[in-house]
Amino acid sequence: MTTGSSSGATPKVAYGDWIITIGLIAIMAGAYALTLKWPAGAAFFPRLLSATGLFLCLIKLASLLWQAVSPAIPERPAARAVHGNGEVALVEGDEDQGNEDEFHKIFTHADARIWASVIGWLALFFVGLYTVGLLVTLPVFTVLYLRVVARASWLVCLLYVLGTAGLIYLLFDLFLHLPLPQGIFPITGE
Amino acid sequence: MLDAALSGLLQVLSPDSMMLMMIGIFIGFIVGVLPGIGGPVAMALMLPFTFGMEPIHVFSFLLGMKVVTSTTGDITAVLFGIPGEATSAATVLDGHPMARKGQAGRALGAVLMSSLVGAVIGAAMLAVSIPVIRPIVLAFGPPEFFMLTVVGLIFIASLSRGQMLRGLIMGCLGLLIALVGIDPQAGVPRYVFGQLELWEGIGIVPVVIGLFGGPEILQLMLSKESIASSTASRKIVGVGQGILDTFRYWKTVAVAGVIGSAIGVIPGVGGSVAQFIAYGHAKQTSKHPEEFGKGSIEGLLAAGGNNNAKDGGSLIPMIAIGLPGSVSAAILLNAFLISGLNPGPEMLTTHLDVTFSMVWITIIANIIVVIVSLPLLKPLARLTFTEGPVLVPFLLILVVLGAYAENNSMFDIWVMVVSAFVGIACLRWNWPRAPLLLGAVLGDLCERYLFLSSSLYGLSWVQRPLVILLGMAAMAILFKTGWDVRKQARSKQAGSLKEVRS
Repeated sequence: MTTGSSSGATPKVAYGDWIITIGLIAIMAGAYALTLKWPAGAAFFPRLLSATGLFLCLIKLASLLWQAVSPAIPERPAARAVHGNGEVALVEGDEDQGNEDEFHKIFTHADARIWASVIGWLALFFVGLYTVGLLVTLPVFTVLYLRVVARASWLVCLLYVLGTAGLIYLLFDLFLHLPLPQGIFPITGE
Repeated sequence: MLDAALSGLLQVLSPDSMMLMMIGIFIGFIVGVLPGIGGPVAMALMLPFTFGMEPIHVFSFLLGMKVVTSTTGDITAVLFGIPGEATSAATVLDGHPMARKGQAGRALGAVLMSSLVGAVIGAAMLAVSIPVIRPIVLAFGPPEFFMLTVVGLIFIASLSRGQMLRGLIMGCLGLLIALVGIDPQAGVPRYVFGQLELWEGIGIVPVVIGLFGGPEILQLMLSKESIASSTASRKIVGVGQGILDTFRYWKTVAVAGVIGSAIGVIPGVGGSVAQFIAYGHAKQTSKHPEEFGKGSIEGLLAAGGNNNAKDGGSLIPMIAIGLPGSVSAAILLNAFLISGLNPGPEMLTTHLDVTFSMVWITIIANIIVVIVSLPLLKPLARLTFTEGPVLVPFLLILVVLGAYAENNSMFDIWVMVVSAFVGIACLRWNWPRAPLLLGAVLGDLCERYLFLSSSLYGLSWVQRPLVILLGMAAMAILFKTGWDVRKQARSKQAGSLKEVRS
């Protein structure tokens, strides 16, 4: 799959597509190889699926290679003529994606600094969840995130934490008696 | 029969039954809004409270709770793109894009009303089919179940949105994911890599939540904008229009309801397949199939209409022959036994009023939930205009609890995180997510029924009349999808060429 460029005539290679295809080839080949150790009955269905998946991935790889070596795709100039108003023309499949188009644009155009900040916040949340559990992570993360990113007031943070924690307590503890993720160092105890 | 129907209605309308139903509806409403803690979990937890109750009181409580969780589960699917359970995944495909366009009110109105209509269709099917369902259910053996899963899988082509090859690859990946765990036939651990947590397989709920909810949260964090597009009108309108849409597209809702209740009857296959068949059918018969996945009202109505109808369908084999069609039905079967009722002929003779009470409970609980929800729709729809960063902590907690609640396992949270990565990669590089989900839902069923078919009948199972009929239906669907894709590609190419020339 290639991505049209607004300025150049040569189609830009979509590396993600290559990485996904090669990754899937590795998964399918690995899945097939593992079935060789299993008894015939247990191996039949996974072997059939992994072989089919591998075959399809190889077709996809061939189509990527074909697109990379072929000078131009017949529809490409037409697509560019339609969208050629300085805007970045998205991949052809996007035309059918609708709402997913917007996600694609956001994921594509967000710069490295924003990505790093978002990944940092997510890492903080999940590391907190894994280590000290939900009951500690919930207020800490919520207050930090709302103060720093949403620039919310302390009062909003307090009400937000109380509301969320109250709902969780009401539902999980009082009504359903379900446990919450504790973490490996549960500060709040069982 | 009419006497029994009337007696069932009067017993359901008694103050005790109504009070228990309201309690069930209240719990179901809260539980249903949270992803992961679906109807089965809530019902299992509430089952001990039903000891000593009258049968109709038990069903007012449990069944009232169940039908409401199915309906309210669609609310998070529409608003946040996070499906409440795997069986409501199809609602996300068009419901959430509508919310992003600023049409959350219309989407919620449509999904609520179509759920109600679907529930009525399911209940009606339950009422009319009980006397005749026994031979039909018994005519379905493993080969027919297998062919039904194949029909469901055929819709991978339809859900691939013109990216057939990618869709098929993702479908294969989904099917392989479903095979992780102990092989039920030989007891061989497959793709577990020494991890004990993988022996029971990969839970479908964390996969669904991660695949659809993960990218939604990430895009809110990246864009820092509200769910609804900034260009959309901030005025919450369209709830009434959504309700009217249900009647405007009554055929779509009715067919989805019939598909849901008819496939819901088939034990073990049920809702997982029904949603995709109903959605795929609506797409194939629509005059605007190109709008599906972009916020098509028809797509949403098909998903909503099917969602509650399947619950009515799943009750039929349980009542008629004591064969539960879903986890919820299995819990209800327990409630039957606790109340001293025996499913089977007794339910059609001595306890016909109890059977009819279940029909009435399904209808009345759904009507109540629609009435209760209507005033809440506008405030709920307003959430889609809230700034993204404000929603992020709440949504993160929601997806974590949703993934965790089913098995109380931290491992499921990591499954959800990995699924979120997959979902994000799919969106970033335009690989369809729905076929992956469809494969993951159907893989296990497909293998199990194929194994049973060949063990019981050798190769002769392919000659069974119903298998041939379902095979022909699968071929027809495949042919129709191929034809539509070809037609679409040609018209797109012709359109591009025309614009270049002009």
